[in-house]
Amino acid sequence: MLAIYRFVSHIPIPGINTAQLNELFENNQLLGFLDLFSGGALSRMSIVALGVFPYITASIVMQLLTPVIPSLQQLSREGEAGRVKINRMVHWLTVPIAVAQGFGQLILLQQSNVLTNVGFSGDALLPTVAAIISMTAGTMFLVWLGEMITERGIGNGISLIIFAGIVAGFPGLITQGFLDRQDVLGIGFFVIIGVLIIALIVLFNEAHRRIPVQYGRSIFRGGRMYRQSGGTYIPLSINSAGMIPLIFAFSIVILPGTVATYFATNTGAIGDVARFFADLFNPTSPIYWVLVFILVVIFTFFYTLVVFQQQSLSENLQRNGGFVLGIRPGRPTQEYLNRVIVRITTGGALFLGFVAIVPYLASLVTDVQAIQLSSTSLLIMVGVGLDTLRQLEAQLLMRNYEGILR
Amino acid sequence: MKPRCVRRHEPLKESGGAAACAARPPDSLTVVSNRRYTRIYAGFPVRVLGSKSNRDLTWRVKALVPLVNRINELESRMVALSEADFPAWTDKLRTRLESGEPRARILPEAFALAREAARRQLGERIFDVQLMGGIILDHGAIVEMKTGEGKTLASVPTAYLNALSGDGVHIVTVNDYLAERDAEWMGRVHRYLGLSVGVVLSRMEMRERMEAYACDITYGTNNELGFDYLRDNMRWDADARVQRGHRYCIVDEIDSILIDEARTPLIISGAAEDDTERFAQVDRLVDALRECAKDPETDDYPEEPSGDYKIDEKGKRVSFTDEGLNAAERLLRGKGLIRGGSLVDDENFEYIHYLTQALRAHRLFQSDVDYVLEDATVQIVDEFTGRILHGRRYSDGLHQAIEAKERIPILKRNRTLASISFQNYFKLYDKLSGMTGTADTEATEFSNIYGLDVVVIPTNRPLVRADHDDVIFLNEQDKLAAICDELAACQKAGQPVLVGTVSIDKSEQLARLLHGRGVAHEVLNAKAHAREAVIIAQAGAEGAITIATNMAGRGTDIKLGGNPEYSARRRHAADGGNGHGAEERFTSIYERELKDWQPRYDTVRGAGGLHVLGTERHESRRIDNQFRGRSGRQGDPGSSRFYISLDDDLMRLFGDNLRSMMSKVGMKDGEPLAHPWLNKSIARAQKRVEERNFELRKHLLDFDNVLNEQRKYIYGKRDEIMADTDLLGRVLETATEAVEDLTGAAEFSVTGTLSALRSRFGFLMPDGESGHHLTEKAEVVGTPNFNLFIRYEYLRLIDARWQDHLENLDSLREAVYLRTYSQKNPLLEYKLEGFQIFDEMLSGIRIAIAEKVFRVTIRAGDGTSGPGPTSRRLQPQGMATVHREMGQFAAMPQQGDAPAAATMPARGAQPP
Repeated sequence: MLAIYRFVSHIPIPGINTAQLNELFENNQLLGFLDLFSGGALSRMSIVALGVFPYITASIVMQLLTPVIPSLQQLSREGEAGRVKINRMVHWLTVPIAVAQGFGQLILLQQSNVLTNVGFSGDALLPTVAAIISMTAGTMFLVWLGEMITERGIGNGISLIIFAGIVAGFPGLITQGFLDRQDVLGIGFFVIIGVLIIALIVLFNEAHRRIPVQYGRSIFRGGRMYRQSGGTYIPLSINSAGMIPLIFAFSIVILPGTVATYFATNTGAIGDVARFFADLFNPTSPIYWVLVFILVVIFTFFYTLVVFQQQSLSENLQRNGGFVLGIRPGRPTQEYLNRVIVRITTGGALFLGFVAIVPYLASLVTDVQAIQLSSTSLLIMVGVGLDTLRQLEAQLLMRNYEGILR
Repeated sequence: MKPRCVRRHEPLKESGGAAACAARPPDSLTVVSNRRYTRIYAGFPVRVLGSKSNRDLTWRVKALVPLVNRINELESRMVALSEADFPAWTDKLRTRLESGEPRARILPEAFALAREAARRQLGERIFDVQLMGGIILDHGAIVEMKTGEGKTLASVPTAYLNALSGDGVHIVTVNDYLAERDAEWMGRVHRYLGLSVGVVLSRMEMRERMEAYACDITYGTNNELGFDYLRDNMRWDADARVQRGHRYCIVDEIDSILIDEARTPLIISGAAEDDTERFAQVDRLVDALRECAKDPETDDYPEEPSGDYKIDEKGKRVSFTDEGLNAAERLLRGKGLIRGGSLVDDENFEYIHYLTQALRAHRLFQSDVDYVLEDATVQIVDEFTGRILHGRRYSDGLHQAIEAKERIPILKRNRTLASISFQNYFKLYDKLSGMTGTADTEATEFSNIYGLDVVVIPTNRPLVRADHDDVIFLNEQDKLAAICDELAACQKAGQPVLVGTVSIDKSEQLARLLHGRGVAHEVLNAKAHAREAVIIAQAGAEGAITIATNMAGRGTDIKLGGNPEYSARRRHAADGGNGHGAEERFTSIYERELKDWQPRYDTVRGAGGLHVLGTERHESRRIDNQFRGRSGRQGDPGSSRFYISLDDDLMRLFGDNLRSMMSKVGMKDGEPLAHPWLNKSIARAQKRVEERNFELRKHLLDFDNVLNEQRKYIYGKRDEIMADTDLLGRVLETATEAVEDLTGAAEFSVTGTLSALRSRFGFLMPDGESGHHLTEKAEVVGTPNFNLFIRYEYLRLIDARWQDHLENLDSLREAVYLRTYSQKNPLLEYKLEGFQIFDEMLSGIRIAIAEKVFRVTIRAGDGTSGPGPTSRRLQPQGMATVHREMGQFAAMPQQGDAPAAATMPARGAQPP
């Protein structure tokens, strides 16, 4: 399955000038970032250039919409059938997003003179439409592929596809690093930092605060003995927002810089302002990274709280007859949990912010500029890797359990 | 022979129906000494099979036609056989099977033989379509045959063929009544063929069960089979088991068992020590709490409800509001039940549970709906079969809460000793097949979860039942009034009616109404279950009205004009029954009855046959269809109609708030509603419930699979231990490993290791000396006895820990959904953690048994009352275990020449 994906990512869409494309990617942060999600497919402008990104956007949009629109909320509570329906909506939503993003990308490319014929009139119409259709189809194909993996294989297919894309880009990055500088020491140092960061990410990814929960039933069932059987707790992750704040933050930070670059060639006031912003939001400037850090922290809080409210944890607990020992169910519990989540998210947010700016720090220390050791990709990798491992383990356990009883 | 074969093929292709299977006119068969051959079949022209089920006539059914023809060809040979030839043929087929002849080659002869035996014994010739059903059953698939087509008969040849190997065939029915009836009825055929037939009923003792399972073919209900399996795996002696394996199983009404009942697993439980006083205390508080006010508009609770608790009827749950918890705390404190602290503190919070259960008992569980009171006990009524589930209890203290509510003695809470879901029980069988009238709608589920295909067999005679459209009323009173009107009208016209109700309570309510109007009727519900056979036998009589719960929903065969055979049996029994010449006397009585019956039958037929009247829609379309299927059997005329009101539970809970919508539109009470939109809404409500239940089943199965793997492992180990004659070696090995583990853990502290060893095993070195001691112990009492001792100890340990484990898993399951809050898949976490605690349990058992064996001290008995070899039957409780420290072992007087049959006043070890 993943092999199919890698293969497809090398099929270019019609009418692309590859050489110019490469040049472009070396100079553009936003595209570099998007490229990450498509696993290099974007820089080759293949038919899966958009990757599963439109799908992810669609999911996030749906997730944010769910608490706002009552009918969606009802659906999400209807269990399996509702989930299937929401999933179908996400699929439908993916299509227009894919079209829009595809078009946006073509425009972007035209600006950079990679493409010449973009537009909806005359000669340009046919190739443009063809490109957009093939990109949308490519995305939908990937989504389908991902779901097949989820269904038939192990792990979450969509994440695995992103995972595969990132991992596939690694060897290239490293050799590129070697070629750029013959500084073995620097590279070695970089690798060490990379490993340390991965370890750190694993740690934070798994870290959670356990809120012990008591069910009236369990004590009744098992007497004192099972009171603290250890299984009954709510794990509140330090980093429950995952990589989404990173995506948000980078997208926002990159945008003004990119826009500004387009206008930078203008003369006059507009050009000046544009140039100013372009400099300001340049990845090499410290201000850029400070901004990234701040945004990541803000978004982490924002996202965590939105998602947390949406889960209405205390209400669910109450409905199932559980409560946190010593704390009244209902509002007091909600307040207590909120307090805890704010506290632990503080740590999580700072951590995420740190992870976000690590590449910059690393390049400051090592002087190895060329390697874009993206924190986001690391985060994704770790998350997906851990998840897949757990699934594998569970599968193996169920398949052939070798006990130790003799 | 060949040309006939071809001829039979052709109409099949033309009509798409299984015309080829149309039997030869029955009168072309020589009637060999058959007393009941004059059944209704003889009078009916053989018709072309229904072309309605065109799409159902899959290639699978078509492919069977040559096989069926082969069986038909063999028929004439079988007709000529004498009675004594049948067992001889059975033996012959058996030898052929044993000599390695493939079953497929034997099938035609076996089927032909079984068919002839059935014709002689039951007077019913197995139709070609039934043969097809039988062949499909043999493939291990589900056969869908329309209700009343003789599914039970179709299973006879298959059961016979599969029983030839002698490994035992289990036939599962939905209730004891049917198990007994089928075992008797179909058993006649099998016994005629020379096979043994047994039946397992709930009231049977172990020995009777064992005999029944030893038969070639065993009838029983799913509950009994499942419970026997669980009980077998709690025995301490391999010889005490009643079942002898799970080779082949035919499940009658398979959808009922694998789908409807799959939501509730089988649980064996034992009493646990508990304080039941609190249930009674708390029960008195219930009235002081009040439910939250509902918004009359939406019939739902408002956002900010005022009141003490909320009721969730769909999920059968009750939850407190903040206000309610304060009130409860006040009440409890007022009664002096809790002191100090708040309700949610460590020592008090269990009262929340008692209160919740008390509220559920009062508000969600009703007498005569969910349970009945019988001899001052609460007996659960099965929601699907409408029958009483004797001896079953609700879990989690709900049963006690109900007992408190009903003011009857509160029995102690139960503790799960063993459990299994039906899904996993039936997966034990090497081969599984089943039949039902309504599987098609659930075909996907069968193939996904059980890997069973559903094959639809065409009907023998076209169905002439008229299924009328639903009649819908706004409220229940109007509906009931309309039902009474129709019933009275039917009675006047002489048409028998079967009225389906959803609960005992509803059936009695309707009975009271009819009584008030002076309309004669019978009521069949779990309370009247002793009279079930009588009521059903007369349900088809002219003008009869039978109000029934789901009890009459499945497998019930209502004969138009009443059942002549039944009345003949009654008269026969009244005449003195058994004795010499009883058979002949019965035959003559039967013939007289039959003659009387024929005009009655014609009258009822003329009146339109049986009318089925449903008073409410059920949770799934299948149950409705089953009910309808009571009418129009074997080509008889019949009709059916459902009455629905928007007050019905189904419509209230799942019906899109139709009620308030209709009143807004300005619907008036009293008039029946008819609108395609309404019908759609009803179908949608039913579908929603079906989906919901499917989800529940899938969920149950997903989680139960974890338990199932572990259960299989534990049961396998138990089997090994029961069969092992060198348990000492097993324990020694375990101990060595355990010591190694300990050594590894305490590597840096030699003294630590030594003391750990001393305290754990009572010896210093893992090898040499200790093994020596053990051998000595074994010699004192004799190796077999020592082995026996270890076995019992081992099994007892496994059972005890396994039961703890079941409870642990249960609470894990309850809590694991909380993991979704850190974006984890609860099922995955359940698997991982479930196996983790399983591993811990296993190593716990391992160490505990080693400890026990090493620290036990043996004293030779006087040898006079030695149990000797017979002690194998001894249950372990009979063994005296005395606590003793290891140091005393050395001081034990050596009684080297202990008699071989030394008793086992073995001394157990003190728990560390």
